[in-house]
Amino acid sequence: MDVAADLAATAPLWLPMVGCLAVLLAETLAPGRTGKLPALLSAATLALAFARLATTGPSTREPFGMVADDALARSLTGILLLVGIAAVALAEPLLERLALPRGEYFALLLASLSGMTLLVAARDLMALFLAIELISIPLYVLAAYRRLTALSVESGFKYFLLGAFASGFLVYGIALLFAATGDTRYATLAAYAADPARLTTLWHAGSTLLLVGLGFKVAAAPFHAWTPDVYQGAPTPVTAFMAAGVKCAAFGALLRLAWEVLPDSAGLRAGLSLLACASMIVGNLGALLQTQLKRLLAWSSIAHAGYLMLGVLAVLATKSKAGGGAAAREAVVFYLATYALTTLAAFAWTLQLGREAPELQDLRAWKGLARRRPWLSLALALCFLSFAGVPLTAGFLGKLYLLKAAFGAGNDLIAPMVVLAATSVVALGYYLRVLTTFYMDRPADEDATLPATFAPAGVTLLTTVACAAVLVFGVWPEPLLRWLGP
Amino acid sequence: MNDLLLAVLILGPLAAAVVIALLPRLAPEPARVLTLLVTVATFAASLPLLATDLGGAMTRELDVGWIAAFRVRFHLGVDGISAPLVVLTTLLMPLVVLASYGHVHDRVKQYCVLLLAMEGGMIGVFAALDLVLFYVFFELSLVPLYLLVGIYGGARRAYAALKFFLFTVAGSLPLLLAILWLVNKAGSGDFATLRNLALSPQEQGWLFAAFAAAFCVKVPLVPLHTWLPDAHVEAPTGGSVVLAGVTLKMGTYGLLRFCLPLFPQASTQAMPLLLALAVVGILYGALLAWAQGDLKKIVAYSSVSHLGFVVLGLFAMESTAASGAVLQMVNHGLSTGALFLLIGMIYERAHTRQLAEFGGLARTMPRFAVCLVVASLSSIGLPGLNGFVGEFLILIGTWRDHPVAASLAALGVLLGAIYLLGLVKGLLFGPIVHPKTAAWRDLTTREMALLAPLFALMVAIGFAPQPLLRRIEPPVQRMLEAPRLALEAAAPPPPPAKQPKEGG
Repeated sequence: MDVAADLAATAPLWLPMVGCLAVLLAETLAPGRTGKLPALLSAATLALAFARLATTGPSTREPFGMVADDALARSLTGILLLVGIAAVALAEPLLERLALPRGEYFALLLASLSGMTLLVAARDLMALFLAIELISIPLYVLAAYRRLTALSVESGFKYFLLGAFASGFLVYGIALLFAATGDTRYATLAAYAADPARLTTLWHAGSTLLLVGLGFKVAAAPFHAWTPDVYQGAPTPVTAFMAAGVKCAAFGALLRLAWEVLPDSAGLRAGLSLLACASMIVGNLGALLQTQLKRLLAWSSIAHAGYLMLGVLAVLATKSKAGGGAAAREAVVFYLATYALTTLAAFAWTLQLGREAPELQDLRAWKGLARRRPWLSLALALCFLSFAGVPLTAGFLGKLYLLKAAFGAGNDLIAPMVVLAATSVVALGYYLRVLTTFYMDRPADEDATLPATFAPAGVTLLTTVACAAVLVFGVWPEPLLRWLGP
Repeated sequence: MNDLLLAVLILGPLAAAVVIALLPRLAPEPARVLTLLVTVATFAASLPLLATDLGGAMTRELDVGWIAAFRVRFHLGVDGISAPLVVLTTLLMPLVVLASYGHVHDRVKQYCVLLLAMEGGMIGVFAALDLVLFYVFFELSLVPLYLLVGIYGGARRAYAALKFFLFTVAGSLPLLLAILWLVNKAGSGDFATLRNLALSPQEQGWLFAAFAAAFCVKVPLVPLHTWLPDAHVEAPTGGSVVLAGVTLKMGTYGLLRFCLPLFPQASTQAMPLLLALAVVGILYGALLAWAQGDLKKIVAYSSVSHLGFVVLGLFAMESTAASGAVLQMVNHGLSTGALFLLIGMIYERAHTRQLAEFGGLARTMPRFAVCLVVASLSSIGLPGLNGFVGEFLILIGTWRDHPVAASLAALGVLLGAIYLLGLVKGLLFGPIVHPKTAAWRDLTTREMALLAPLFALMVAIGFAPQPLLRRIEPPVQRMLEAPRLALEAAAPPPPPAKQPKEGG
């Protein structure tokens, strides 16, 4: 084993951890007096990791015998690093305003991020479990970071309880799979599963529990119950990081499992279809009733988990066909990229307008906003149109690609696709309500001064860049596709 | 081969919309003038499109790659079916901008931006020759119209706008699935490639259902029409004109361009159902129009009735009827556009649209009276005006194979005369009802000027429809080739006894 070469290949994975340690060190040397240093240090390491990623190409080697260095891992790592930089830009001004300790925050953020980058590359169930714990434990703390606010503490506690529960499923599943096969490496598991006759109850129970555990993490129904409360209570920059990052990382793991390990079977397809359809239906119906922006986005994220699950299903169903499911994998990664982009923009916007005050995060406080703050309204309208999948937004092309890839399996997946189409109409009911509120409703008091927005340069820049990207990639997705492609 | 004109017509208004949106602190008047200039320039630039190929081939084609991974190409082109519709669109837009002087005083810049975005989307729908591209434009034109109705509309505007959006999207998502299925099967979404794709009858059935669902909601065909009256009543005048004048034609255009040639067997199987729905639409729409007291609702339901004629003409699968149907799409845009503009003008003065509150306007507003009479007669189908030509062609074309449907539809013409003449009588004649009638000014020069092109075309098409029909007929025949063949294959062989009789 060539350790130096392995370390070089995995630099984008461990650099965030180095950043985490550097931030901690700085905080120990000058406690409470580091100012903007932790944020700058974090952003710099992430940028460095991204630069490293962008200047090297994928390889077929398997560093440390545990992680992959292929196109899938690299494109998802790239998305995650950018999400991390955005999360830093969102958090810094808010922490400063609320006078919360900044060093710990960024150390935890980077630790969680390094878990995410490990998760999308993991090729061993041990690495997978390690990565998930590395993501989750810092996030429990981050969700409760405003420890004097009841909602934030509730959010952290709820996330911790249900997350621990999910980890239980996950680790039990891994144990059963190990019992069935005697190994935890994906390659061995795949070789074992190649012969369907050998698949015992142990295997089936193990893989089911594994999927249940990951289902919790991606917030797929029926394992979604924690999502609205956790999303609402956590500080908005944490929610944004959670919504965009965890979704990308956990779907990356699911994608790899469906591609490399799990054998295509009618039972598995039925299970994933059920998860997909349930998430789409529950998420979209649940969102119809929400007026709190963050809760609305939480329910919508459940629905999006359903759409993405259809992509995973497409990977599973097309991997034995010509092309080896490459189109389906790319479709899911593309969807994740557009989803992360839109989600970041939407939460950055929520932070700007909502200023962490529950009454300002209520849509009804912003009737007729378009008249007073045209650009801000336009930005959020654009995000919601992208979520809804209206043409000329990146979200539309994401859905288009996903559906097209799902047709790669012939007509096998038509049922969840029809559910997707039908629930997309339901989804318009709440996405358009946001537009209605801003553009069509009249404010209760025309002359009242509008509550001020929280618009530090970083947040405004993020909203602007993300919204521009949603439009540009909606019209001209080639650069993004090329970057994400193999 | 690659002609940029269509791309300019689509991207020009879209680019202008972006520029106007980005101009900071643009006052309402410059925004309106700028929009007017852009729409007039677009209209002028679109006129050369009318020089279509008389053999029915596509002209002005542009075919460049767009998104390779999805196999989507930016493929545009027009023939004798789409060119008149594009020109109708570009003609109506400057009129809508001119009309906005009367009723849009708030958020004018946004209104202009939405109109321009709408224009680009609508032209794209008629010019797209790649199905995914078509879908993009089809959906794209929804959002501006949704906002136009929702922001500038009446009291229940938000409800009406949402209903309109949800109905249309519910119809068009199956269309998206069907298009993607076709793209996967054929490896391309190009119209020419898909026409040669062999599909089993079962596949055709599903695909036809998905396509027809989207288009029939848009037309709207009874029983999917309930969104239309709501949208029309709440929409501002400009929104109504665009909605009735152009967007409804996207449905009938889609039926002719895609459903008939791509799924011929399924189309012939569905023919009885669609003919029946068309006839029901003609009669039911007319009866509903007759019963309304709101001027806009009368015209809205008359649209249901008139678009029923168009569907009837298309699904008679006979070239005279189908050509008449295409002509009628244009005619309906002209006459209904004029009627909505006139209703908007009277509403600006009276602030009511209830028929019962009007009377005797012929005496106080003679110019308005003349315009309303001509527009109504055009809509009724009086010989010498455009509506007559279209309806007449549809009826004779349909009569040959479907005499029952044609006779019932003819009854619709009669009903049309009843409710439209009722509207004319109620507004113009009888005693003066509204106490302020005398204070209402007759039409201004601006209003006359914006109506003039519509009336000129009504008369021109009424007297000389040939130049237009000569362009419409060849491509219509091309679209009908496959369904005609399917129809002949499905028909039972003619009874042998008939031959000697004719010979002797």
